[in-house]
Amino acid sequence: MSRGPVAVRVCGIRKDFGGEPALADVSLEFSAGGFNTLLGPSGCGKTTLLRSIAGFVTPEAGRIFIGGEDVTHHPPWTRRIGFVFQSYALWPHMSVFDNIAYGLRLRKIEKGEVEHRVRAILETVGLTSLHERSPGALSGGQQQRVALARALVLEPDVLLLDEPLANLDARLRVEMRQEIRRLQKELQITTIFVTHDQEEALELSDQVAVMSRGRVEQVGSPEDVYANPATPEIAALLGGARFLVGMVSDEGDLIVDGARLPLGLARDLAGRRVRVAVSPRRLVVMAD
Amino acid sequence: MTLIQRVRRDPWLMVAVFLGVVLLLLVVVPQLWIVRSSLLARDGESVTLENFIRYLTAARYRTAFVNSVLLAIVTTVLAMLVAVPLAFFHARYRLPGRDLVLTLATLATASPPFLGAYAWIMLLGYNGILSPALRDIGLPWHSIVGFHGIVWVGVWGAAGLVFLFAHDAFASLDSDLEEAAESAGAKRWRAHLDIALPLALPGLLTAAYLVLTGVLADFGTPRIIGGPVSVLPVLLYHEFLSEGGVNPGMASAGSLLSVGLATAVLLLQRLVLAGRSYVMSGTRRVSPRLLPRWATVAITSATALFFLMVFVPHLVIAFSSFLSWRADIPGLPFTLDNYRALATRSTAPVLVSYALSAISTVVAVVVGTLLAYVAVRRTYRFLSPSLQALTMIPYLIPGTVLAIGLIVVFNREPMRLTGTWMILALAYFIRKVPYATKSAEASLYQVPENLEEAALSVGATPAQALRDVTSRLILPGLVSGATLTFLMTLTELSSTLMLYGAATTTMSIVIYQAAMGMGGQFGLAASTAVAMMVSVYVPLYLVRKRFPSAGVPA
Repeated sequence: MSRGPVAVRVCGIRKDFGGEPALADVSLEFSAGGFNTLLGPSGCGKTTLLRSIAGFVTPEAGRIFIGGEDVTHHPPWTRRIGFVFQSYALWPHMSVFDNIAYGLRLRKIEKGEVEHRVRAILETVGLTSLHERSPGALSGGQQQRVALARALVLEPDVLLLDEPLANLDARLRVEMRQEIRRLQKELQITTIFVTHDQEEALELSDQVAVMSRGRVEQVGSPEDVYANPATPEIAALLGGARFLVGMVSDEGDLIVDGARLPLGLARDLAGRRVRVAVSPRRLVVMAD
Repeated sequence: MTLIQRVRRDPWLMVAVFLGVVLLLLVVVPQLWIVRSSLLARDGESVTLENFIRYLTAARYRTAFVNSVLLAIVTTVLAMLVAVPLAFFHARYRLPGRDLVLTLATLATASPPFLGAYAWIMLLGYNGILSPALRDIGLPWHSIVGFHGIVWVGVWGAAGLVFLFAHDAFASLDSDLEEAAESAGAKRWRAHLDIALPLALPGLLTAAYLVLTGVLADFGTPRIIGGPVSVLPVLLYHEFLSEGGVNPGMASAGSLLSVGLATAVLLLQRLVLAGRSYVMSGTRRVSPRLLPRWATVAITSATALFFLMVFVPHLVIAFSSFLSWRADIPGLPFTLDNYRALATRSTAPVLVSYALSAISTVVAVVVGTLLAYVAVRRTYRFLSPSLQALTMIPYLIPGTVLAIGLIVVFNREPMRLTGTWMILALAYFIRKVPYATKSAEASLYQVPENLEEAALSVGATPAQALRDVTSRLILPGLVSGATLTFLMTLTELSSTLMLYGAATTTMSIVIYQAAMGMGGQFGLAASTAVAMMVSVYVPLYLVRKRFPSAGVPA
């Protein structure tokens, strides 16, 4: 079923829910087989973008391509996607096995093959003995693995993850994050991951797209976005930066509350009010 | 995006349009025909307001209107006075038999509405079982027939419903709220009056609204026990039948005025409730307090008397079904003859009632579920609110008026349905579709939408997702909603009476005829009434046991 990793592209996506635009002219490329993160505060439009790619949301304008095919008007059930929900959305009236097998059965795959593929994917996600259980009897981490298995068993073109770690406790969150990365590398599947946690974004991603108020503010590798934030907000979001507000002197020093910080700022800023972002990793303390 | 793409993407759009058309045809068109015929003069051609003018000026119409409104208000006030204080004590204090009390109140809400009138006449009518005894001890007792009888039967008929609503309203208060008032220096009774009563008011007003509209639309009770007292639904029935379709103009004008009255009451209720629904921040349920011993005894006795009055009709009917009847006089010895007659001569009404209720319930639940789905899960800018409004219209149409509308529309080829079982099933379906929809909506709100999206994401079409996921998860709610719908249709009288034919005589018709002193089958009517009570209470009890949250029809 799998045809190798495919790229995903969205161009000029616009979506309004009543007043404020949830997405305002968003264009992005997600590389084939890459781990792509949409990072931003809640309400920035990242989940709406993910749900547009899945087909749950129909944008007012713009195009969505999966593997070069224009799927903008294709309904979700024809899109060959795997979607993992923040709340996992496991069907409570089906066993773990049936949850995972459901999509295969819809495709009229014969019984032995279904059995084989469900067992294989359960092994891949590290759950082998629990397939008879009902989802309600599983821990949060186990439910998460079932949700991943349910999405992956269909060998989708693209795996969409909507804040999948948000409902886990801190220790499990770190464990599952590595697990997701391992699976993604192993299966070479194009992945789009939505989070508001910069640590997750920086650790997992091949590409990070930072979003704010329905727009993409910056796209790049984690290193790049971290080292060269495009806006002060991104600096604050990614690096935990603090800001110093002051005037630039003729010598290129920063004057804060009467204190002079010789930062060697560009001369053409002289006489202007500036904000200097100080990130914990790059703070340089100078002796008097 | 083209229309075809939209529909392929969202097949529910087609369903919504289809439902809209069905509701327009079945609910709105008959009402429009009523409007039309209300505006036609006797010659059937010229347009006139004469019908309305006559309705508003002629004495017999005005009397019926005044009677209806007065009855509704008096009955509602008395039912509240009887039931609310008791419900308050049971909700806030530790009293014996809490579960039994709630079960009895729930059963009382499903009581067939006209059984009360039938039973109280048997007991206190001029020739009633107790009337001679009352006269013997020197009381100036004549008969329960009359205005006071309609009120009496109405109060005890509504008391169970009011009790249940009031209990719910008082029990869901956060006990911290009253304790906070007490800590601020309010005495216990001040706290009850200043905190509990205002917070419970929305629930109490809802109960009052249900009683009020129920009395306004009730046909059976005033017809059976009202004697010469004229009320709107009964007057409509006579108008329509006596003029027999020659000029239904007067009946149509009266129908519209009845619907208008119901609408006015609904708007009044909305107005009063607006801004009064409070969100309770805490979720700590009241921990019941203890009362002094004398008070516990007093309230428990009052409760026992309360439920005795509520269930008198059932006891009387059950008792009388074992008596030997000569014409309309019951007597000893005890016998099973009435049940033998039911089993040998009169199985048809039982079967007809069951078949009609089953068919209309299945259709109402299927349509109601689809309507609920569109209301809860889709947000079509125009269609969703329109469908919701259309669904609720039958709430406002008294059974008599609904029947008149159906007769007016379906009495000519090619859609001649009058006299067939179909027109009855149609009437039941229309009357109960609002209840079925509300009940399905409540279940749907319990099922997170992403469970369905998860199905779409693994390749299920919307129809498959509904079949395999959503419908499975709302099934318990649908079963309990369907049971309640079934019970309500089983006891329907007002539209049945106008629409039935010889082959579609239901249980309610058999009982009604006996209650009216027609047909002379008194023993048979008693055993039929017992069959009806069993048909209502056994399923209700089972559903309550299985799904304790199953609500009252409201």
